[in-house]
Amino acid sequence: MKKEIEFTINGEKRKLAVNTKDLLLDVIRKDLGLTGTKYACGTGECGACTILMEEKPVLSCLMLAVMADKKNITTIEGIGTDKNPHPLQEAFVQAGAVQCGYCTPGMVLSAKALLDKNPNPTEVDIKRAIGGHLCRCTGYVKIIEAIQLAAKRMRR
Amino acid sequence: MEECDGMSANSRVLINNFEYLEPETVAEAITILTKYGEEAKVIAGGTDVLVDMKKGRISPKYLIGLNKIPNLAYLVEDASGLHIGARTTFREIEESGLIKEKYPLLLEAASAMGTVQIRNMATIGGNICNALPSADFPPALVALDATIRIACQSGERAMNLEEFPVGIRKTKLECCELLKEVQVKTLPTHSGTAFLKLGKTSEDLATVNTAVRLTLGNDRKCKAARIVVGGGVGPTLFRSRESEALLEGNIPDESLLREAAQAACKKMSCRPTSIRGSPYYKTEVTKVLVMRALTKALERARVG
Amino acid sequence: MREFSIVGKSVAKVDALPLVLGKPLFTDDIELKGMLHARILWSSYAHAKIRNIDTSAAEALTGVRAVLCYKNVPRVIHTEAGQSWPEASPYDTVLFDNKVRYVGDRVAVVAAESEEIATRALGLIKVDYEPLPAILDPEMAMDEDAPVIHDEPDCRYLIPVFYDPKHNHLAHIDLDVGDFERGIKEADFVTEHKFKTHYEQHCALEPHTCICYFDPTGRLVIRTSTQVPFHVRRIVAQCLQIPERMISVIKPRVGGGFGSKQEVVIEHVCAALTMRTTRPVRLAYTREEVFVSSRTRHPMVMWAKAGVKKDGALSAIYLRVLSNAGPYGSHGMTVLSNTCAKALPLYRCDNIKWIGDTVYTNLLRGGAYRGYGVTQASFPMGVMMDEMANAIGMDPVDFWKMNTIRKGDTSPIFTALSETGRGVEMIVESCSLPECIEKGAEIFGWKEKRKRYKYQPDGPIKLGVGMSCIVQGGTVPLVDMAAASAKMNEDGSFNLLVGAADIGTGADTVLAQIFAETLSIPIDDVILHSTDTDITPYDKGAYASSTTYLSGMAVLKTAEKIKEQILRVAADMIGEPEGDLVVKNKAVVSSKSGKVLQFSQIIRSALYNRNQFQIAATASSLSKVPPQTFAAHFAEVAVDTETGQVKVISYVAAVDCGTAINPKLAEGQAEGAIVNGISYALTEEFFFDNVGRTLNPSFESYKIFSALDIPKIRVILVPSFEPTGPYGAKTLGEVNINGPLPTISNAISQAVGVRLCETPFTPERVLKALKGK
Repeated sequence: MKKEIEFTINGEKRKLAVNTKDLLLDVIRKDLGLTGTKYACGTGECGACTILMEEKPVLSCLMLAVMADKKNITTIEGIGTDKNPHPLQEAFVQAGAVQCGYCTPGMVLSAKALLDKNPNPTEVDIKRAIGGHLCRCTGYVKIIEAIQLAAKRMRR
Repeated sequence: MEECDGMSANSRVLINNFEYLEPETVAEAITILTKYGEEAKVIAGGTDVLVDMKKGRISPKYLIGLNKIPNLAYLVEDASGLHIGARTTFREIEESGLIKEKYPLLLEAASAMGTVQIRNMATIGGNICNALPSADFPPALVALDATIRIACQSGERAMNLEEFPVGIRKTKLECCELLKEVQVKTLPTHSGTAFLKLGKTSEDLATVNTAVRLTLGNDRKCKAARIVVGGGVGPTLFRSRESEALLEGNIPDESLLREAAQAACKKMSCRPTSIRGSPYYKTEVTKVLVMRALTKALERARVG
Repeated sequence: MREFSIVGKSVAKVDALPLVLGKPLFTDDIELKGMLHARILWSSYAHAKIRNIDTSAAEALTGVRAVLCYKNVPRVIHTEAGQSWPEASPYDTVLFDNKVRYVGDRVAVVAAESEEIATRALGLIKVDYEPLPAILDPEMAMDEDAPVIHDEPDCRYLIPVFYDPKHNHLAHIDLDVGDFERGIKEADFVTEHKFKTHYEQHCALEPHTCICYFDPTGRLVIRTSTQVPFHVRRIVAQCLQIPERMISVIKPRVGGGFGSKQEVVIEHVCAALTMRTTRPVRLAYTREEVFVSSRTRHPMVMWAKAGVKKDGALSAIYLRVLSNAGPYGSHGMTVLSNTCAKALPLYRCDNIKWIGDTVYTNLLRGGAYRGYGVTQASFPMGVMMDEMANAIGMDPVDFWKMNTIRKGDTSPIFTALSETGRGVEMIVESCSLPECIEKGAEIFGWKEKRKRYKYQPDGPIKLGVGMSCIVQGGTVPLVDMAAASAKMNEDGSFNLLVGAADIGTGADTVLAQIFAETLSIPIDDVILHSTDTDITPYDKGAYASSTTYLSGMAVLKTAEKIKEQILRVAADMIGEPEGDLVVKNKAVVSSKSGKVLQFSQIIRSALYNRNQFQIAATASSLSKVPPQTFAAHFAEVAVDTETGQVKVISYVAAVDCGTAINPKLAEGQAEGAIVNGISYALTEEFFFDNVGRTLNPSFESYKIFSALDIPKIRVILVPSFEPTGPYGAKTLGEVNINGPLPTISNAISQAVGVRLCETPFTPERVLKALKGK
């Protein structure tokens, strides 16, 4: 069953014909070629598929593409570039918060949603904001440091 | 025992075809649900439905999305109490100043559920209708004597939330009905509430959870008590009326609270084997959790 | 303390920026025209013969392009273990067999136009099973009447080691040092327990993923998320009966491995499909498949006994290990071997008796997992050490210092046993463990906390502290080899080609730092490429804590060779003897005349002007000894005596990895390993039903730590200098995951007086132990 949907992604308006059973994660990765958003569990436990929808972190592996109709989506590709990385992306690099990098895009987006709302978060605020992201490489220590570093810079 | 069918389950893609319908009114939704009956499934946030479809547990031919129906997500207080639209997300509850101030039990329960992303997507209506005994929010609602409003062909009907779940994933909702709203009465003065949950990690399904409310009278006696237990303690959450009866009409002290906590285990009917703990363990922990929750609630009742 | 320009600096990871920008760097981030999707049919029985498979309905489904099973795939017995050849694992696996040996075993595979069609097709394959009795308890696997899991006549090892598949007994090794019986008699205090460690899954965020295709010249390209590209090439060639030259293996960025990808898990299946269909084929595990059908940590039952004299000297150690390999033996003997070879050299004890056995069962497949046997053995050892210290009234800090190996020491175990068999003589040339213990204790507040927690607060929460020391020798000596190549470019930059597999560890960065240090160039001038078996020279792969030490040495040697060539050309250009020239800041400087020649000038001359040649080199490094990396771990726990919940409040690890080439990356490795270890100790657990099915193959019910669960963690790097390692570096990947089990058990013991000898320390287990007291 094909349905036409219209949405804004990373500031760009797009129109797509999707199947009702297409998951938003797959449409983002395959139809739009944005592979920063990842599959790691498919059941909403790990956060690797996180995108921002209306600036809120949500799980694209648990959304039908049709549910993105008329919505505003941001993926990791939309928050920074090589020449102009987002302060969070810079902080992640500098703080050593990127090991294998698989969990990183989702983690950064949730951190961004946090800092956009709460520019001066406590450590507990940060842990809660990234609580829905599993990472097996870092033990989260430097990820938390990176977010604190970015928050400091963004406040200036 | 929970079965895992590794063969047809595929958490990467949905296998079976279905139609996605988006009614624009409640009445339209009811019509569609009536037409397709068992072949249709309502989807709001999708965090339960899509997982179930990926696991092959359900395979609806029609998914009824609720996002186009206006006035289904709201948090409004009036003289009778708090009205929560069924499509309200857990995040909206978590971030509501009204709830923080006047219904803190709901804040505690809502923020104990899932993760930030899940709370941004999951709706209380979906959570209630999915009727997993481990859910965190329903015990809190039941502790506040919640009632629900269900839309059906003949209009609407109301019911105590306590009676709504009848088994694991089973409720009194007919297939042509839609949960519209949850109502919670304003908390009387000198009330204290507490919600506690025990899981393996900080973000986990509950092994045991409990929501309690104590309302004291001017004579310091307990005017009303609600002790609700959920988690893997039975096919549904339950209210321990025996515990409540021990407290009501008496001045609550530590030994009375302990007695009530012990009594809370009487209604448990845990599975003999479970990955979340043996019946022995769940019983022990229920006593502890209820005791701690009652202690907190009493403190808060005395202050408030 | 030696000071270097780039080595020892926390430079940014060379791939961090593209990763954080979300660039398409992982295996599944490409899509090839005409790519098919594969899905595997898994066994629903723990042990069964396959009388027949009927794939006709599946093949007839529109969009299905191939269905493979035992009927149409040649039977080539092999091991899937990613180890050097000849592998130290039994050849007991075939691509598709007419027998299944656990729930989650491969039965057939489908390639179709879409993942959905492939999944549908699985349901159309009809398998006629003849169920057999299954073994779910390793302690019963060797019984006379136990069903034989590997009854095929051709299963065998390539090397002459013990193998008795008729009794499901796939490894037996024993070791005797000194005289254990006499030693235990001399002891003033003896402790003895049965210990059990449990299954663990690596939970690398990126599931096993592979894309195979033919390149235009007809060679098979395997693009895969692996730790062992070269072993993959060899084993796939073996399985498909084609020469290695027909295969190229490319490793893109890998989203974690931890041992789960030190195997050929899916590459041979994927390649077989490409061979059959001639089309590109993508095979990607779901999370459930990673849990059930990849690998796990070998669970072990261990009987341990130790004796100590009242002056604190260890007099005897006994460790008997029963390891559960599951249905196939990859890494079954080598993980077992390490419970002695890499775990026991830590202890200064003249009398050691060790017996190890690995058995087949019909449960999950054991494989390589960070720590690789040392994690399991460190548990009984760490607990017994704590008991003995307490029994003789000695502070564990002093007891550990007294009884652990020191710089200049050797251990008879080094010579007697290695991971794969024979050992090598070795003297420990770098060891800062005593300082690790001291510094760690100080920063942790050990003395003060230990004193404080002698008197517990009122209420249900009890607090306690515990410590443990651990070791992990890196590499498999005389077996492991790594190589690197480099060539110089016009602008003075270099292409550095390494076979080493960066799986998120930061290996690429560390290797670039070593190369840059040797040639005195900025790290941006090192263009590192890893790993493509056509382009990069051989490297055994990312396992056995080898990359910094071994691949690093190969890179250093390569850089030295390049330096020689640069100096030779420069000498010719300047007209001064080579001995007077040094490399400095991307140039050659004469210490006599002060003349400076930029690297770019030198290479241009070499490429274009005089006696032209390409400045380039290849070098290899063979491991001669296993450098010992040490750590001292300290944990503070709070035990809720009413619910049994254990919370780690703070954790300190003082680590000796020699020179930390990149301190931030080293810390990150330690932090990750510690959190993984704590999670393993407290919350991770598999559940099975009585017919061998895994009940919780998902993050929903196999719980690993999130950021909300971690304690306050502090990692201190305590440098030493390993003369056999690049710039004094040793290794770091594994050691820290060995700490949490004994450290936390010891802390719980101080808090509530119960010794937990079975993992995980779940609330129920703790509560039962408390009530049983």
